[in-house]
Amino acid sequence: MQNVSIASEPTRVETGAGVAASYTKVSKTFGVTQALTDITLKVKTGTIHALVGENGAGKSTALGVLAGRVAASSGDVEVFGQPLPSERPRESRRLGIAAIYQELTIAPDLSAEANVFIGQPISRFGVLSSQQMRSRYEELCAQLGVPSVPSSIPAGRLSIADQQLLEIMRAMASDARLILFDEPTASLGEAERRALLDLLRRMRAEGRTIVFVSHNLDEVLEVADEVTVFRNGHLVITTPRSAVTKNDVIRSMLGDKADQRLLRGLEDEALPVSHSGSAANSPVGEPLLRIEHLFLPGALEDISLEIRAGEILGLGGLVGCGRTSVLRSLAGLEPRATGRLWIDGQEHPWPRTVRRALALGIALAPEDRKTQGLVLELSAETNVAMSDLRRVSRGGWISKSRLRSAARDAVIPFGFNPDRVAELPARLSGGNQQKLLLARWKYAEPRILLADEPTRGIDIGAKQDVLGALREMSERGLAVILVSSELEELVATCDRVDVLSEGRLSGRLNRTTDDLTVSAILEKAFSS
Amino acid sequence: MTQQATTGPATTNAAPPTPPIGGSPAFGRRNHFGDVASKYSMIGVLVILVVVAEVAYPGFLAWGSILNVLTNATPVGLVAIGMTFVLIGGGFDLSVAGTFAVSGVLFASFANIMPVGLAFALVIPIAIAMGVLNGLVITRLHVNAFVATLGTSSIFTGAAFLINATGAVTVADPGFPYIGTAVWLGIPAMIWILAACFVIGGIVLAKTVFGRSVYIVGGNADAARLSGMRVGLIQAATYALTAVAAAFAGMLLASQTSVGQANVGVDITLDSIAIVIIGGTSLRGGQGSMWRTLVGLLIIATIDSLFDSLALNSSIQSVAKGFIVIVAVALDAWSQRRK
Repeated sequence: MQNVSIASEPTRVETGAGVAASYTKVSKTFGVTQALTDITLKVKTGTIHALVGENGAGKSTALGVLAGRVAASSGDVEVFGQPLPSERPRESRRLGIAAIYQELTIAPDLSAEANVFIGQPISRFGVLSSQQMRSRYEELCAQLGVPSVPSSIPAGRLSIADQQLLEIMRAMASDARLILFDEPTASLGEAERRALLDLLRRMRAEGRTIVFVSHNLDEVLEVADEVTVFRNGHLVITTPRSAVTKNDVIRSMLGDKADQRLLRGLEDEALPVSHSGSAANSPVGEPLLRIEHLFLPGALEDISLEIRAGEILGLGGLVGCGRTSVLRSLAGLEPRATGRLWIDGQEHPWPRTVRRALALGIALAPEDRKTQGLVLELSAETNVAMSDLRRVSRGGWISKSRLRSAARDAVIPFGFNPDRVAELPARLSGGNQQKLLLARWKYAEPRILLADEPTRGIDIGAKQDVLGALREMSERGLAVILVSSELEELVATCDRVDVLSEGRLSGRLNRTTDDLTVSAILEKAFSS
Repeated sequence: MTQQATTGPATTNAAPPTPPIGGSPAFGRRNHFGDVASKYSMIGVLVILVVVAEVAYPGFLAWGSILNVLTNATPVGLVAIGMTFVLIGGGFDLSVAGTFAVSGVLFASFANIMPVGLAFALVIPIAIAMGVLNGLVITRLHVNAFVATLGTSSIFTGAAFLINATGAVTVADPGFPYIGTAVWLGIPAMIWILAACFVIGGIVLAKTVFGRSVYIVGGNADAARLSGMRVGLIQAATYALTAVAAAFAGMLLASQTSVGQANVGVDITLDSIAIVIIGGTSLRGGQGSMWRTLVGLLIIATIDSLFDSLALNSSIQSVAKGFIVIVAVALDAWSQRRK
């Protein structure tokens, strides 16, 4: 097979034989944590190379070493045959490397356009050429296949997905030969995701090399030429894509932990959260929450929806369709929102502060857990109990034992190790951070929980824990409104899915009466 | 992911209100050694300074000398206790010198026309009002804390001179100097008061709902708001608390000197902030503790005393202190970057 291709496509093999990046016995320790152990890896020029593994397996660290963000403790890294000096992002860039991190590096006050050209302005005689930058910006948007991201508004006001698109455009603008992506599609909706994967292929066709980290195995298997699996800081295997199946990859990722139940779930191409018919299917009685005519200038047009106790309602649609705006409006974060709202059939004025929303029993678990969700330098238990410290106190005094036991009780359903509640969230993995954020609302027990992308950027095991716990909470009477860009997740988890398109409701899918599938959601999402 | 796995050794300010001891899990446990080492490093600095002071100036550690140093440090120490709350809550207060001065003048002025105890009691609500003013300007008008308190500082200091144009109010009442000069059980009352305030402040910060709320608001105001906390109210309370501390300090100094002066305490703003930061409480909010402020106070008091005994003039002291503050903040920033 290989011989044949060598004979028929000599040029292709020539470029394929080149090495864009090579790691030789690279190790990295953080304190006593061994993040990478003896990694030896070659990334071939002109290929798409995926790094996969669980949270904390070392894939992001491996990427960080190439980007010059992380200094290897030992070992050598070469890029296009030249040794890469460690921890020198500028050098990495000079050698033709561009990196797009999971943590966005957007300057929030600069315009979207200015963000794309940070560090690489187009200028003539030292004077910025705004016209050229503008046209290059439009060009990049077109290349990405997305409607133009508004170029002049401050980047900080864009959605996370749009901010990520800016980062990608920044890498494209730099004409880098080796482009590194850390979870490039984690915050993207279906359309943007497709466009990005196409873009990766086009970049490869242009001879660029792409290394990317992803939790989404389907997209890894769809687009990658080679796959490298990490586990506990070790490189388990590097293999051509064609030689492995999804199950092979999962087995390598999980090692001995490969749990039969999990594998079975994945073989069925469904998420390992089985849907059980719930109280929601009995349409008797008033809905717990009903909203009508929700308007938010520039974002939402006449949204109406309702949800019963014990029900999980998904909000589907493309990024930017208004999913998050609905949640923010309900949570009291959008003072300009107008609409009518009933709880248990009784009308209340629209909540315009978070405290009003909470008083109505509506709580939000925000998308960005690090900046809006958690206090990273305070113990996990404080993070859980902060929504109501009085409950673990008496006369204003916090009871250590009550705080601890309340936090333990709240985190257990999420599969968070209760012995770790005294730790700082800054030291926990993304999955565990997400569990803490949701455990806060397990502890405080609102009546309606708004969960915005609760599984973004976390590994399969943690996803299962999070979605399973949400399902369990809903079975006990909580109403959950779930926003997720992973449509499979909505299909697997929700009783009903309301689909939004450009700020309007474009369709309703009910598990019992309709065909609740990814393609059905997509059809509605595109049906504006 | 890497950033979560990163448990670098240098985390000067990793001082959660509930230290991860006892039930602390195996993961990363030994990393705490580095934390512990840098967490207590300022105590080492203090010990070295004390030794240096004793060598340079034999008799520094004599009982009388210690009492003297602590008495002198009491006013700024009280202000630093309040400042600890403000900084941990993510705020900043440049108005304490103004509050300090105007409170001393008010106290003396009131004491001339009413009983001393009543005069004292009357200044406290006025101080609270000044702190609440800071809090409202910052949380309601959304004025940056530096600018807001720089402005109110000017207002308060000006008010002190408006109350008495000469800037000094002498008090005839023989009861007026009592609290500032009394000695209880062989130790000046000022020191007893300072110690009591440290204990109370420390307990409030570490053990109460209010104290924990201050950490949360300073650590992540957005998260606090989304959890339903009254972020503005909690921050305003820290300013009110600091104003009361500064007023108390100003009144003690007035009592000690028998005169309410408008031109005292110009250094107290920088000194009190320096004390808190040198102790290791972070300027970014959400981290720190009261014992750190005590260590910072003792360090600054030792340095002051050392300079005095070496007969260095106050200009040099001022230059040195400025450097110390900048170095302390730079070290804090450096240790954060290493995380």
